Amino acid sequence: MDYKLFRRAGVHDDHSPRAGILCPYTVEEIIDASGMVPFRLVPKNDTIEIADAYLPSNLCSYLRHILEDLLRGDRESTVLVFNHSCDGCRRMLDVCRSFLPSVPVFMIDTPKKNDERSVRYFREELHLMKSFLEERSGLEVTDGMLRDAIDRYNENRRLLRRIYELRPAYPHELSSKFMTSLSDFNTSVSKRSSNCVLKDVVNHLENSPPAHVEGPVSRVRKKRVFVSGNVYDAQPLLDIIEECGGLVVGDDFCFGGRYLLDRVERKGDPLLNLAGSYLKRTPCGRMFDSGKRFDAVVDQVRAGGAAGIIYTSVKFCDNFLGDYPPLRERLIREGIPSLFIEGEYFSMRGGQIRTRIEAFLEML
Amino acid sequence: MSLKNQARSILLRNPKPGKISRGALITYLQAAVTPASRFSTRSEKKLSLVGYRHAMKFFRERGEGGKQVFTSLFAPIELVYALDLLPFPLEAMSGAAASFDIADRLLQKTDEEWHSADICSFHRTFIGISRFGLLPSPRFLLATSHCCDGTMKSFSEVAGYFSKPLFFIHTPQRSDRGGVSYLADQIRTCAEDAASLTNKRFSMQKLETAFEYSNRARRALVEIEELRKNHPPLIWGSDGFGFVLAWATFLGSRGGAGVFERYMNELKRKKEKAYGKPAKKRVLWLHLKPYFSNTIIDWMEKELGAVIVFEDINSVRWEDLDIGRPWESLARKLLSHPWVGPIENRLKNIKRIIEEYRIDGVINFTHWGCRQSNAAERLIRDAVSESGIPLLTIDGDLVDSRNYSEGQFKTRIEAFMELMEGC
Repeated sequence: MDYKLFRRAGVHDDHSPRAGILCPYTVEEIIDASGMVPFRLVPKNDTIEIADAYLPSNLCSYLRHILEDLLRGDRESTVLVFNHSCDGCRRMLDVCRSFLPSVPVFMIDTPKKNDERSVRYFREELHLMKSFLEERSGLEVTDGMLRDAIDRYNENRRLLRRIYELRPAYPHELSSKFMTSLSDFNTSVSKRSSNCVLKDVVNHLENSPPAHVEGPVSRVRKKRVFVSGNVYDAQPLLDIIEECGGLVVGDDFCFGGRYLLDRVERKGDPLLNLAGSYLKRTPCGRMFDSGKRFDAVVDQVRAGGAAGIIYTSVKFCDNFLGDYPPLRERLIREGIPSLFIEGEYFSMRGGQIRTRIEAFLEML
Repeated sequence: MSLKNQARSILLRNPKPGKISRGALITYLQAAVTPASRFSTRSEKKLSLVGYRHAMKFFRERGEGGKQVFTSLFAPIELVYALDLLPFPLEAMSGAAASFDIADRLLQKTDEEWHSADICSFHRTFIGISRFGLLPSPRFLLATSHCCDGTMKSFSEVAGYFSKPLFFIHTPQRSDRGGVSYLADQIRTCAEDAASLTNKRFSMQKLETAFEYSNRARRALVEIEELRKNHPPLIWGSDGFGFVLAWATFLGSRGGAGVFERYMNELKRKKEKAYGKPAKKRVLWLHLKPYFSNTIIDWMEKELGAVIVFEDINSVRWEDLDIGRPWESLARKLLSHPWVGPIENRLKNIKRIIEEYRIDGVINFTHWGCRQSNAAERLIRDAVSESGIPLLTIDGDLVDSRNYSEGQFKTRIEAFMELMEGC
């Protein structure tokens, strides 16, 4: 697959103001409708020198790296929109408000439950978010503008879902490296630009013969694995898996497989529709009902013909570290072997991890 | 072997609660909770006896129709009392396990079962207590997302282990009308669901009684807060630390109201008779104290004269509960704790305490797995520095004693004492 596709579209495809986000529960459609480009904050500096004075070292290194970038003067974001994703994120907001007064920050209090009352509360939060963005952009966001944004995002998710569906059949074209680049690209440019590229990718795949034609198990002599986890610099780890003879057939990373959600309804109150769709998506570790996420993981493992799971978490992430023991028990019941790897944001590489992955793949 | 150690070894040898004889349990609780020599005041003895009776009832209840409910630290336990059930905060259970010196063994067990050692040891310990078979099966669990993410995860795991329902309440970050209404709605639904689970009709009359006891306790606690401003201090931190765990267990019960009223009356008498013990320096303690066997607080207060006059976690900031608007008033109570919402709430409360209690220095205990508190360390440091007094941050663990070094703590506290004396 041609990576130039991403470069051609350009990262800064327009000069719209950009809104930095951290979590896939951020309702991007509202940012898009307000004339801003939502983009995922990705750490740029691999060392932490300044942020340690503001956040302790036993806190999520993803957040600490992001704070480092902001404190070093990264001004890509006109505004920051955070979620109450975790305790660390809550305190990151407090630190930003105190020490980075020049960057307006908004936090959405995303409920941990998804019943109807929680959806209504989340809708109120989205209304506050809309007002915050209107004030910053000087643009009144109408229901029509929200519906247009919903259309763009529905199209984006349809195309992404299609690519994920095709992934097990096209292991070479849709290598983990390509999928990571695709995810990075899709969360860094406007959905207008991204959708054009995703269409090209889908067209290319649909007009190419798949790597295998018989059933879900590939003829490729590699061990198929599914990777589950949260935010970290994934590519080095995925490279190690593939160098050790593994084949990544799927993932449920925050901005990877779990980024997808069902089509958002266009009719009716757009904010309520968005609130319902975001809260009722396949849950992540921060949500109350992790059991549904475990179901989704097991389903995807079966669908991709994976022989095992590599579960990764950034250190000090209570939500994802807390999920591993019950998920492991579930996987044992399902007869799916798993390997648990945790580390700091830029440390998912190195000899020790390679040895563990090699041993795991040999065992499969 | 001492009685306490003997009881401890009996408990640890038994893998299932059914195999622990009632006699062994009673011996254990008596050994750990009731010796008169432990208590410096009558109120403290009363609190321990009420706790002992509550624990005995809790552990004696057997079978599917039992009355036990596992709750989290700030859960609205008035609902549990209104259903004639017995709440027990699992965090208090972890504190108790640490004070009986069995937490390390339980943590070792959770480590072996893939629970990350970076997660809060309060949560890991009660997961261990459950999996070790030391707890009876509850009717249900009731938890809020008040303090941290860990509560939801750990309670879910314990609920899964016992295959019992968990009523989970998302505590919103906003205390405005929308936040109160969302929380009130969840509390009402939770009360209805819990009643239906226990085949009862939720009785507003019983809730009113629970509210009356809770309000009596609240008024006593507010009065105690006021009395703790006295110079010299009428009660020391070593006693005050127990309050938050006591609220979390007894608010809404007659025993709870009685305990706090007794404390209040005792402090009033002390004030009238000028019985307070002089303190060289008045200290505000942030977060909880280490619960495993240690001498650090006693040493600091008795030997150095640095007396803990208040603990920020014990702040009572809610109004009387109103049976006319039961769910809303419970919601307001839950949202009133300074640890909920943006850090400004906690910082404002810390500054208030520093001023009102004439604090000379602040000790912030940063419990290893407590993200919400640790990550605010810099902001707390700056807020305390604005008040012109020194702050000591102690990194450690409140339950896990495996990396505890008393000598190091003492050296740092001595240096802090010198700093306060120099101010």
